[in-house]
Amino acid sequence: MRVKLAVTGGKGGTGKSTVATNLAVLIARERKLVLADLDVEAPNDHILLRAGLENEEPVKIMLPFIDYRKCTRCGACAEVCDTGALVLTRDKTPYIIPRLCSGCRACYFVCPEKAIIEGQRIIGYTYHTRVSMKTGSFDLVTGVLREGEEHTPPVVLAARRRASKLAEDVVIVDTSAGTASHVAIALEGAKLAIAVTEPTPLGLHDLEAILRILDELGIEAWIAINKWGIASSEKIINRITEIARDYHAEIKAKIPYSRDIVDAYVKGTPIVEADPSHKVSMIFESLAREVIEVI
Amino acid sequence: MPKIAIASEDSKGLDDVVASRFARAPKFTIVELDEKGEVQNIKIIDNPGAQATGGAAIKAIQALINEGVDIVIGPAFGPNAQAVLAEMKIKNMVIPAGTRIRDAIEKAKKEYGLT
Repeated sequence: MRVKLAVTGGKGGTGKSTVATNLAVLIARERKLVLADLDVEAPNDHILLRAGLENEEPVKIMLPFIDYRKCTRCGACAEVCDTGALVLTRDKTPYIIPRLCSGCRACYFVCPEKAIIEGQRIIGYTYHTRVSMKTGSFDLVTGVLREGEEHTPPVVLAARRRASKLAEDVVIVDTSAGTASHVAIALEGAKLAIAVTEPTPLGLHDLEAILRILDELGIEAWIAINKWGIASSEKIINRITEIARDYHAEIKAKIPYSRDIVDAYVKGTPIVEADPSHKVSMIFESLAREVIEVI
Repeated sequence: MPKIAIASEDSKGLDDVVASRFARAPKFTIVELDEKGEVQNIKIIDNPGAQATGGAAIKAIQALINEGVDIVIGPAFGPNAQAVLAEMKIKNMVIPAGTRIRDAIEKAKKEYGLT
């Protein structure tokens, strides 16, 4: 039985990757696990795990080319283009801007003269690396969007699919920050999502946004508050508790701010591996235990 | 007779000011100059990029291409806008937001030797 768990959270920099990598190391001790880094604009799980990016596969999308001998300058292609990737010159000759093209094929289907030729363009890559820890090993799949590219969803989807193919027991997906469509694509099919937040006004604001998305998608949400103890005014803690109640999400972990996490992070060894008896490691341990019980 | 389009905040013609953004400027003030560099014609159009969900710069430029504009004035131009303007042989000139359109046209005339 394959189960998908998502680590998300709305705000950037709350510690999604820290939580995802530590849980991966712990759960991999008992289950066959794939960790999918779907934060394709800034993937860093491989850095936190000191793993390389191996087994590269390109992610390609359709790129239209125009057969100008067939084109009658009707302008239908530019009219249907939603991303502004097709511009018409004054005499209505279409001109393609590859970077803006999402590869949706609308121009290809709408062209009455069949003057659109289907080409391809590489917008990113996926990687598969075997990660070995002292206590076990697991597979890491990473999606990387090429620099300068704007269309993240195809890369998220490709990495998600590659991870699903490899998965035997458990897939953990680490999403990017925010609530954009590519975050929803990453979350799709998850049985459970852990929303990682921090006790700050922005953390609170973005937590509510992601809980709304999870509610819409019908995914059970747990909350992990990272950097517990910094700026934790009573007001914010009360609000987090209120929001958790509103969205039927349980606060499952309060991870104290600790310099030791940062040190482990810099060394590229998750704290549960570097210092298993650390109080933070114990918190991850009990969170992983609860996750395993659910899945 | 060159046509100059200015990204504009409103529809006040020469007394209006340069908008704070190019792609999402509310209006474009398009002026046509005669041989002496005097403003002969003023036309104000809505910018289709202003309300666009994506690709605003391209939608704005498409409208300028359709109007046959030679020079466009805005407070800044992004990489997509610059690439397409260059490809379409439309010159772009950066003039700070808030500059009166009357003054912006004078600067453009000097820059491109239109007087």
